[in-house]
Order: sequence, then structure tokens, then C-alpha cells
Amino acid sequence: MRTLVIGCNHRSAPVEMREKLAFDEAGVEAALRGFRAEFAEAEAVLLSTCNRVELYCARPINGRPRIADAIGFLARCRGLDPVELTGIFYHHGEAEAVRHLFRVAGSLDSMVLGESQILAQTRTAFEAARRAGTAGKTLSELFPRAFQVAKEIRTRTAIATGRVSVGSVAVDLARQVFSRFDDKIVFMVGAGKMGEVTLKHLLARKPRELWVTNRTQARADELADRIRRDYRGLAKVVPFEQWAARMAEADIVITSTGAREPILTAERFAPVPKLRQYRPLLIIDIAVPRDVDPRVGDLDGVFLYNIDDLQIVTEQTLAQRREALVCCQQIIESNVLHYLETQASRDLGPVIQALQRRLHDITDQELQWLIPKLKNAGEEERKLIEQMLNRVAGKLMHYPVDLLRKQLGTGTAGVYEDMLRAMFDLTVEEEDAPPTTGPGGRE
Amino acid sequence: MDILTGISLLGGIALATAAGAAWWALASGRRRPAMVALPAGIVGVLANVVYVGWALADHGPVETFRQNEEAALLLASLISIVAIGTHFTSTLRGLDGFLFLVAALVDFVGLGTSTPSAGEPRYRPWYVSHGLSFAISSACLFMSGMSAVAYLVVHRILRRKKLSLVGRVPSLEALDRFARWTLAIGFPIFTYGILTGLCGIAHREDIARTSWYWDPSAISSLLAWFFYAWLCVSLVFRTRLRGRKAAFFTACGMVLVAISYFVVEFGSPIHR
Repeated sequence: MRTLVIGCNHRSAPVEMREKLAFDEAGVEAALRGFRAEFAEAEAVLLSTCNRVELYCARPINGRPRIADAIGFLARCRGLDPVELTGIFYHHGEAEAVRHLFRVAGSLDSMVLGESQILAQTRTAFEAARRAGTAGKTLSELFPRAFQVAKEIRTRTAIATGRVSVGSVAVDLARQVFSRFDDKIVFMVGAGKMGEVTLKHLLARKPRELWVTNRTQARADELADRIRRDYRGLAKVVPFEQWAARMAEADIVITSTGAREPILTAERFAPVPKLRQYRPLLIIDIAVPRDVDPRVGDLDGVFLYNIDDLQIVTEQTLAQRREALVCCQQIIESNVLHYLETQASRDLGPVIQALQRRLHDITDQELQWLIPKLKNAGEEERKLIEQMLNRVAGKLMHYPVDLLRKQLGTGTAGVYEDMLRAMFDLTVEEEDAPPTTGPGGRE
Repeated sequence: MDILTGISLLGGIALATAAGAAWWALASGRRRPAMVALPAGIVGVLANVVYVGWALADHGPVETFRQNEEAALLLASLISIVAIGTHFTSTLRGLDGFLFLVAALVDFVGLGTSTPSAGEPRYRPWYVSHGLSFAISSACLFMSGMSAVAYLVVHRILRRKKLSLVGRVPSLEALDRFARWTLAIGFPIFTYGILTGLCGIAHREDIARTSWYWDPSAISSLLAWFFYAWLCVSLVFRTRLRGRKAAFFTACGMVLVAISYFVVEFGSPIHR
């Protein structure tokens, strides 16, 4: 079987195209059923996430789908013209396809390097293909191997360590100060988009209450409504004039207003620690310009962080992950090689058997011609002649087979295999394993 | 080197290894060193338990729990057991480095304080509880103190914005709570230890007639007791003594307990 992947991702296609191409869960299964009807002998897994749509196929050596067929199939599924997709779709065959899948599952090809969702999404895609009956022998070996590689990458390298979003860093900081959240009050000052994203991360920790305040009351109401609806959390709106006074009751404060000057000065904040009985207070100021006077952070029990502090952490994490890339590539390369060698050595079996059959046929024919002519030869001489012919055939076969085996992993095994077929006019029987190329074989 | 010394040395080395591995895990953020700390800690505790068990079988509880090596090993074991326990709690993960460190120190100090038997003990069996209560209360107060030290370290990390370490050390709230609880458990037991000590003096007429109140162990223990009494009251009633200040004073208390321990071992005539 030949392996092929076609698709687009966040680098090759704009979001408008990815939106048009995206499949939901039911859509994936319907498309796979359509694939099965159209290409009965081929296998397929359709991976559709917000950042990529990819069709992984395995087809018989001279069968379909070819690249154009696969692109055409996806275009038909989404009601698009295949011409629209040719510029944004990439395609990889054989070793490159395997390498690409390993990179995708290992999150090396993701928008956020090392993110964990893609592995689960790949698993879901494979499960959908199994349900739809399009994951045959080849893809059922390839995908679990990809999951193993992804696991190895995550456990052996630093690709998945640390935090990469401001929101998750804020949660980490909150967890470093507080051990429980069910008795904590989160106070959101301002209704900025960035603040809301950070807030959503914190809401996942299920705080006791959430207070929202904004200069424009309507926006605070809107945000509180959204939170009540999406998180079923207790969200209260605090009038903007009262927010500084209510600060003494809060435990985590997120500020993201559009004010030009700090709205919380050290003088204004000075009585708060005493009112709070010096309990720790975490302030995350993600506004630019800053909402909180940096001197507030010097007060007892106050931990103040601004957007730069949080971004430094995300940058450090990404740098750390980028450093781990080399190690990840090594893991992928060794696994690609191992996978292809296993596949190729398995696929060489039928060719070698066909060669054996061919040489056996030749020696048989020659014996049939020779034996009637040797009237004086006894049984022993006949056996010796037969033995000699078999030995000659065996020795003749040894060199090409040995050469073929040596080519495994070099990327030229397919060429040698095809040459051997042509030279000896080999035909591989259907019940044998399907013929493929070796590592680096041609698409 | 006899077999008992070998066992106690093994315990000390195991606890020191556990401390080193736990600190390495803390600094590097890797999980593998933490996997070494746990078995090393268990080996340390087992070695100490074997030693104390041997001593109990050999010369009975009264002699065993006098202020000597066995008491130190018991103290180190109690601290190590809690350190092992922190591996299984998500909120206190990372505190084990601090606790194993103090346990290893106590263990090695215990090795150096092996005192020969002071002859036939004239204590009554109930007097065993004096030594035991000091071992348990010291363990609690050491844990409280180390938790306070950890609090100060984490506080410094957060204030200096060394955010790469965030997530590897326990939260401030968890450390504060742990320090308070261990203090709340340790202080009454410490009080009981002092009361049994006073009873012991009353029971021993030869000591009761002397100026026992000038004994360095009595002075240091009472100083520590008054300090902890003040700390407990302040933590409950004085709102200003919170966070970093509370941690600082709790750590100071641990130093007083350590001084008392050394005084009892090396400079207390009534304990000889």
C-alpha cells in the first residue's frame, strides 16, 4: 500500500478557507463513508481541527486515490472547486507522509508548539475512521505508532512543559498563592477582551464568587451575563465608584481597563492590606498602560504582576519548547525509519517469494528437459543434478535479495524492487501482502 | 563499626539522598529525581525504625526514649514520614525537600550524640512519655518551622518574579496552613513534655533539692515554650501577624527548639 496525505493547515491556508473546509464529527464520518464508496480498496483517516484539515490515505500500488483524486474528493465534500484548493493544499507521500503524521501527532506542526489537544484530536479522527470502516491494516498500524511517538515526545522532551498563554500563567500564579479557590473572590476591573480570556482560565478553578466592574456599566452587565450563562458561576456587578472599597474583600484582582493613568495608586491602596487583615492578594494587571501603580506591589501581602511579567513566562516556555525541537526531530526520524523498515521488510516477502517461484520454475523446466536425455544416469546422479541446479538458483537469488535488503532505509529500495520485478518479470499473487516501495519510495 | 551504627548511618545517608533528590527535583522541575526521593526516604525511615525497634527490644522503652540517639532517630523518622506523605498531596508537593533536609540533619546530629548509658535508670515507666512527647512535639515544631522557611522562599520567588519556578513549590496558602496545623498540634504536646519534665524533677528528690531551674535545658525549654505561646496567641488574635511575618517568627521558633535540643544533649546536668 502507498501512504499519502493531503491537506492544509494554519500556515498554508487562511482561516476563511479552513472554515470552509472544516468538518464536524458527523461530517467526518459521512465523508469517510463517501470515501469508502468511491475508493473501495483504499483506507482513509480524516483529521479536521480548527487549524488543519488533512486526509490520510493508503491505496494499492496502482490504485486510487491519487493526489488529484483526494483533493477532488475533499473539494466535493465541502462543495468547493478543486482548483481553489490546489494552491493551499500540500501533499506528502510514503516516508514524508509518515513523518508528517508523527509531527502532527507530536504537536510539532501545531500553531502553539507542544499543545496537547492535537493528540486527542488525532485519536478521535482515527476512531471515527475505524467506526466508518476506512482504517484498514496500513493506517491501523500507522496511527497507533504515531500515538506512541507523540507520547514518547511528550515524556522524553520538554516540548509540553510550561505555560504558553497569559491566562494559564495567571492561573499558575493564583495556584502558587492560593491552594483552594472555592472560598476566593475574583474581581475583574474592566471588561477588556484580554481580561476576559484570563478570567475564563481562572473560572475553570471554580472560585466562590466573581465580581465585575467597568466604567460603562452595560459592558460589565454583559460580561456578567456571559459568565452566568457559560460558566454557571455567581457573577455580580459592582458599581465602578465602589470598586476600590470592595477590593479589600477580593482575593484575586484582574485589571484590564483602557485608562490612560493608573486607576489604583499606592496611596489609594494603602488602607487595603489592613482591612484585609494582611491576607495575600494577587493582582494581575494586564492593561496597557498599566492600571495599578507598581508601588502597590511593594506592600505587605500583595503580589502584583503586569502583562510583561506574564509574557516573559510564555516566551520562556516557548523558547524552552523550541530548544526541545531537535530532540523531538531525532525521536521522529528514528521512528519513521523504524516504521518504514518494518513495513518494507514485511512488504519484501512477496517479491522474494515471487523470485523464488520464478527460479524454481526455471530449474524445473531445465530438469524436465535434461532428465529424459540422461538415460544412463541413476537416481543418485539425478538427485545430484537437481541439487546442483537448486544451489545455482539459490546463489543467483542471494545477491539481488541481499542487495534489496541492504537498500531498506536508504530510500532506494523501491527502485531496486521495481527493477527486480522487471528483470525477472515477477508478478506478485493477490493473496500475498500488497507490494509497496521501501523507505523513501515514490508517490 | 557495629551493625547498629551501620543501620543508623544508612538511615542518615538515605535521608540525605532523599533531601538532595527532592531539592534537585525542585530546582530542575524534572520528575525523575522526585522518584528517587521517595524510595530513599522510605529506606531512611525503615533504617531508623529498625534501629529504634532494636533499641526497644534491647534495653526497654525507658532507656530508649531518654535524650539520646534513639530519640533523635525517632524525631527524624516522624519528620520523614510526613515528608513522604507530601508526595501524595498535590498541595504540599515540593515541601519534602525542606522536610527531608531537616530530618537528615537531625539524623546525623543524633549519630553524633550517642551517649553511654547513665547506669540503672531511676525513672518510672510513665516517664517514657516525657521523651516521646519531646520527640513528637519537636517533629511538629520542626515541620512547622521548615514549612515557614519554605513559605519565605516561595514568597521571595513570587516577589522577585522568578516565575519559572512557579508550580514546582507548594502554594503560600498551603504552607501557611500546614505551618499552623503542625504548630497547633506540636505546642500542646510540647507543653505536656515540659509538664512531665517538671513532674520528673518533683519525683527525683535529689534533683528537686537543687537549683534545677537554672539548668540550661529548663531555661531553653521554657523560653521556647513562652515564645510558642506568644506565637499561638498572636496568630489567633493579632491580625497583623500574618504571611511573611508569621512565617519568620515560626522559623525563629524552630531555631529555639533546635537550641533546646542541643542544650539537652550537651549542656544539661539534670538530663545526665
